[in-house]
Amino acid sequence: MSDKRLQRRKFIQSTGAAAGIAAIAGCTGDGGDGGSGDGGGGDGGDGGGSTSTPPGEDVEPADKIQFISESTPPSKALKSIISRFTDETGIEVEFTLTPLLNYTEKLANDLTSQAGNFDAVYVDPYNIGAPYYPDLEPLDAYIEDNNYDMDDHIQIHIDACSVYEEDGTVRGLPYDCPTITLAYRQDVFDEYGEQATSDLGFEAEPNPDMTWSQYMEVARWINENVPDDMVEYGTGHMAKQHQSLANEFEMIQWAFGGTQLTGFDGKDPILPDDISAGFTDDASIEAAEFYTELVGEVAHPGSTTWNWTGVAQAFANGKIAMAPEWHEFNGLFADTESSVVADKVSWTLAPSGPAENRNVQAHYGGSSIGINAHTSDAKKKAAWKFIEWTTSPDIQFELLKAAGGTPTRQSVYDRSEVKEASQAQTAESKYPNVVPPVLEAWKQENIGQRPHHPDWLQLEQVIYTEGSKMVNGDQSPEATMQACADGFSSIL
Amino acid sequence: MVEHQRTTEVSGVSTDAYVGEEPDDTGESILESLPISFEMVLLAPSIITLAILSIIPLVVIIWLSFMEINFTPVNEQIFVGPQNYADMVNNGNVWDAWKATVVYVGGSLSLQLGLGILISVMLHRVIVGENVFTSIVIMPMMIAPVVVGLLWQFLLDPTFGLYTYMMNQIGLFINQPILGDPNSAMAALILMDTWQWTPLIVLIVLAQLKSIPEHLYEAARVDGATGFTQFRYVTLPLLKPAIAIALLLRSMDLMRYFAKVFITTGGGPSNTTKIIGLYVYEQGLRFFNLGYGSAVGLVMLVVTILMGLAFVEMIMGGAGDNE
Repeated sequence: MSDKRLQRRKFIQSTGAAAGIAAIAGCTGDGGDGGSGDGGGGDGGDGGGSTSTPPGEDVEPADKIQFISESTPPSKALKSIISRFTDETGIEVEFTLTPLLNYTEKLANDLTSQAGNFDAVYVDPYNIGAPYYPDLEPLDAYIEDNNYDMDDHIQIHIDACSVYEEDGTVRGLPYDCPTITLAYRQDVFDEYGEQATSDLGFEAEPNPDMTWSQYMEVARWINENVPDDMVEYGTGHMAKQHQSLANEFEMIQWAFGGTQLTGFDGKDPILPDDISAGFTDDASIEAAEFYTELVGEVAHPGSTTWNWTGVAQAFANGKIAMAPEWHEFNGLFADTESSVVADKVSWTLAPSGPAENRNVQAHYGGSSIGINAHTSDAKKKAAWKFIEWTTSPDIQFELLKAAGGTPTRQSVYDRSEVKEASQAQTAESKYPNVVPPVLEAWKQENIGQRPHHPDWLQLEQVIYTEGSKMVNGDQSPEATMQACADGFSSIL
Repeated sequence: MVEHQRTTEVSGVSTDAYVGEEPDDTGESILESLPISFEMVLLAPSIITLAILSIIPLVVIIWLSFMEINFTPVNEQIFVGPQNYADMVNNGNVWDAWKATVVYVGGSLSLQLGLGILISVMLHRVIVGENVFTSIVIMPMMIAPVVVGLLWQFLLDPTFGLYTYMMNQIGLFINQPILGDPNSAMAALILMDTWQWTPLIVLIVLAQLKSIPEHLYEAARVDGATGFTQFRYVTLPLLKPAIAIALLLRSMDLMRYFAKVFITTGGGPSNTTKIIGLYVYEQGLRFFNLGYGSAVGLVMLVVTILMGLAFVEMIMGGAGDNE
């Protein structure tokens, strides 16, 4: 263990800094859950560095571990079947499932304080992986010792979720991958598609060849020509002042050829050393102008109050005909108790942009699960068994069946019943999560992904704060891009 | 110590009293041997508890506010002097947060105080079923702020929200989501907080109302005072201590708690509802800018204390200073 780490632990323990802010400044914030301040729990562990020796044969795995995750469908599904793991191994797993920001705060507190309260951890690559990867156990030796089939994972998941250093050290096993593609109402296009195609002069039903400008024309056409009792608006967006706005805009910005950071093209998450703020290029400004018009003039007016969940609810309630959305909401759309459009949903890739140097028609949102480097050897051993079991082909398939997760292993997609389910319509498919074209979306030529930057959480806040001003008409697109560039510069 | 009864006679009246032996002036008791006074010994447990809970963290935060603390990609602590405070002054987002806070706290306090006094006066006049009405009135206060936020988010949803529907029926907020417009979003937040916390003011004021002697009103009526005059010159002056307490509690809470903002608007749209508490939380606990977050948090603490003192001074007008 390095001296630096000792200092950090001592520093954190002696100051109780996060708890202090909450206690004195009074920012306990029921919604935010504040600092964990739980203390204790951890009893060692080396952590840090790019190599690690797994606990030896003489170490008995702990009989109980703690797992923290964002409250996602796969983690909820995993919790429902965890008794199987306990039966197989004798290891109990306690789950802590909270919304994204709460999960991020709890886990970040735990990792920075090296308290070791959580043993197995869900790793959001941007909120946790990029800033705190030194606090995640390197897994290469575990993989080798246990003959874990890493090659079965589709390469993009390894690049995006498992690796944060140039030397390729694996810090997490691919676990799940929500991806933004485009959901649309098949019934609307069955009834009005021909007329729209005739009026607009291009294929109106969303398809992989559609461009963003065509998308806006189709949405506008639906607003004007399709009766409200069928659908009120052509499109809806996740444009609340929330991470969702940043996610959506980033995808459009990449598609238009713009960038958030110079030298970053939305394809390779590992950043070059010399980066600076982007945004002020012509392509980014064009993307901002487009997004402002799309959200401000064409989309359902509720868009500025919706995050991804709001859009999903509006789509499920039949209020919008098309929406870029995380594909795992297809489970919600397919549920006839929650959705009035269960038998009317289709998916395709998101529209493409005018960029000549790249194509982005999907936004990556995957995650991995790893081991806290600051927990004990016994717990590390138990945690490895847990993450190995959870990411095995059979359990990924089980999570898919529960409409929970999206497998990251090719072998799961090669199963005949999964292939069959992926070709069915949402209402008929046994596994709604594979109906959207995720395999196509994950191809390098289609996907866009955020960079692994330690301050990405804060940088992204600049995008959605300034972006909110833009879509609400309080700031011009050009001024917004300049404000984003300034905000990025001050953080970088 | 051996005690014995002595009989003394003072001015011809005999009294029985238990008295101890004459104190031994030559020796020292354990308490006297301590380097602190007896009073300090009694106060010590409280002071130690207070130190652990408040004073030490306060000192740490003051220290942190002069540091730059980085955890990623490498951990480092750099003494930056007053740089965090300078950054704060030069940061437009902080000023925006303070502006939003002034509107939020000012609007909420005014509304809650006015409604609170009105409802408590009305409840005070209820003769039958006062407890039932009081229980109904204070119900919102029992709900967790997060749940209130979620509840109102549903009620104000632009596609299926009940309140949005009702507003639409009278021609308001058509194609304009209530939480999507800077003005209406802030108004909605103020109403949410008012709905939940007016009952606290009702309770405090009602308790004070019950302590006002009836004969004061009788005297006022004899002097020909109308109902309003009685309220203006009898009730209101006597309610001042309760109003000061209510304002103190609510102003501190309004500065600190941001659960409803966090749940419903997240500080948007256009940052117009990002109050200072939410800003400090983001800097300190989401982005781990502990130095800068501490500096802003300290300023927030000072402002809260000054605001509380100002309320007490303005309303109580120094009453009790000579008591």
